[in-house]
Amino acid sequence: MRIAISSWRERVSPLFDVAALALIIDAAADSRLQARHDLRLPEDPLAKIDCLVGARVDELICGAISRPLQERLAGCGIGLTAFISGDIEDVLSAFRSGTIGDSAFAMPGCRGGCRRRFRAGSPGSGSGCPRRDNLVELRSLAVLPETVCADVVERMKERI
Amino acid sequence: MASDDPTRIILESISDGVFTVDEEWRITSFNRAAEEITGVSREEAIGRPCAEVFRASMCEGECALRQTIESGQPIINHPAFIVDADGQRIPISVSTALLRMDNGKVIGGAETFRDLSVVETLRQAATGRYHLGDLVSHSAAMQRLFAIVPQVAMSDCTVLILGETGTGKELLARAIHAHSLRRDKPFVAVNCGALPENLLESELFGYKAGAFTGADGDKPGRFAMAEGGTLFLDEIGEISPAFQIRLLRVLQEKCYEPVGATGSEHTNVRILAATHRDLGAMVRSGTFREDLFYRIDVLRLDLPPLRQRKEDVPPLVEHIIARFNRIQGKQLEGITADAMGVLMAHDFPGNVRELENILEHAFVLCDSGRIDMRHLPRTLNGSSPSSIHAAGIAETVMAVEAQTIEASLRRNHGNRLATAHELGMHKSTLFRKIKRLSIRLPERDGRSHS
Repeated sequence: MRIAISSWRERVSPLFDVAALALIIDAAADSRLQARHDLRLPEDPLAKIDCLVGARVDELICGAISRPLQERLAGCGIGLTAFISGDIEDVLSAFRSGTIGDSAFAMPGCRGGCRRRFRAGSPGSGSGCPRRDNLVELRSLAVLPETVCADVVERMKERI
Repeated sequence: MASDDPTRIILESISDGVFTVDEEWRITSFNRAAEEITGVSREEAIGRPCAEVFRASMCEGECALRQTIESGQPIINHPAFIVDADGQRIPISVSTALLRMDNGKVIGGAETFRDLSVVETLRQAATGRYHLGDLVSHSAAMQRLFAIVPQVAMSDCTVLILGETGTGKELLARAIHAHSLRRDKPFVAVNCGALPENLLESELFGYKAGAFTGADGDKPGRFAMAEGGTLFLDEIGEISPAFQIRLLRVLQEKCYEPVGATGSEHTNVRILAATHRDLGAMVRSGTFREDLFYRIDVLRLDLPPLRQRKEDVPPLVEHIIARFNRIQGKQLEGITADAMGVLMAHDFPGNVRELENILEHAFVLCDSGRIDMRHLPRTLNGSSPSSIHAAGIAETVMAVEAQTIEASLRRNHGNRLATAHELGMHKSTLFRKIKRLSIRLPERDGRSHS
């Protein structure tokens, strides 16, 4: 399973819509961590999700996130645990141990009825996920960090 | 501060949100309006990092408070947005100031913010005539479309959206959903042309555990995900004859069988379908089922290609530049008349999506000021007629007017009355323009055209 945590200054980034960095973690079935690396995210909010799709992310953990992006993630088959705050390492440990739903990790204002867990749809074509024609747009985005996402773009081509 | 402190009373009574932070960026005070705008209670906010309470678009990159504390200069009315616990974006304007002790020592900062939702709503109402969701148009054909969308949305029947690639079929579908009674339920889009038939079936209908190798658990399909809401089937002309039968059954009987299931599941979704193909011709050639065609062709909306509504190019350019300025943090002022002339002369086979790509290209090359000819893709410059290239804005407008009227006359087989109706102008205005622009009229006047 591949997890992405949007990060900022060693903590979960407060707002995914503008997050610039994600920590990518590969976890085995027994939750043991196998590898981790940083992924720079493009500035355009929808391109961030395209980038995560290309990086084959299964689950995103992030802070606040606007509703259109929640829907887009679900349509792209990426599970979402949102409105999370805290140190990256603590959040990661909580995710592995299944305690990330604890109120200690809830953002302020989200301890009550705020929905924080969003189920993924099937990976694929839903809700504006990257398609061949979108790929051209993605390549031409001025904000796309080509050096980081070049392999991602290639893998997206394979998927399509 | 005591509860009867005049400063506290004032802070609690104003409608602007106010909070203060210490040198560690933790909230030290949070007024009533701040609670209301952010949806975070004072008890939860105090002591927490301000970025996690406020979660504004500027927190990570260009924190106004950080800039003020570092420079000593206040910031006034900086635009931004915050995201509340429901995932709603709330537009705000932010002002900042230093927080000092009596001896002048800086002990933190103060931030005030104003909810601009009402202002934004009024602005949208003022410009709403030319907007529908994210669609922007001034053309008469699109205005008629915008006018009927609310009724189409409320009808709850199946809609077929036709239009070339890049005309905004999904944006129109989203606008219909947003105006419908299902707007609080999910909008789910599926590109039927992107998946092979066997995957499309499990994608749409879902599957049960054990249905095939690797199906470890139940997986809901798009119909289940869109339950109560809207399912947008893009590129429906691409589905195979075999799958057309399965889809027809769902539309007729409102139920489907997930792959590997023993029973049917009921569905309550509204279907919006779209294609760039001529489904009528496909029916005639036998590649699309007639019964399915009539099931989905209940209400038909036709999105005209951009080349047939060139008057939309200037407002679209303005809209797209404003969006890219927002996304990329630039402040481009617009586009020069020469560059606009080149765009107006282009036929846009890729429609609005192509225009967006052209402007993205320009944004890479242009850092400030206006987008000029040299910022446009080289291939585009080659398509510019020299008459328009060298012309000023008035000549460009006249050339485009003439092109638009000529195209409309051709579409209406020379019928002036129908042309005037299509262009949203009185017939005498059309005659005046035809004369002024020296437009050559077809020999047949079109009145006898059936």
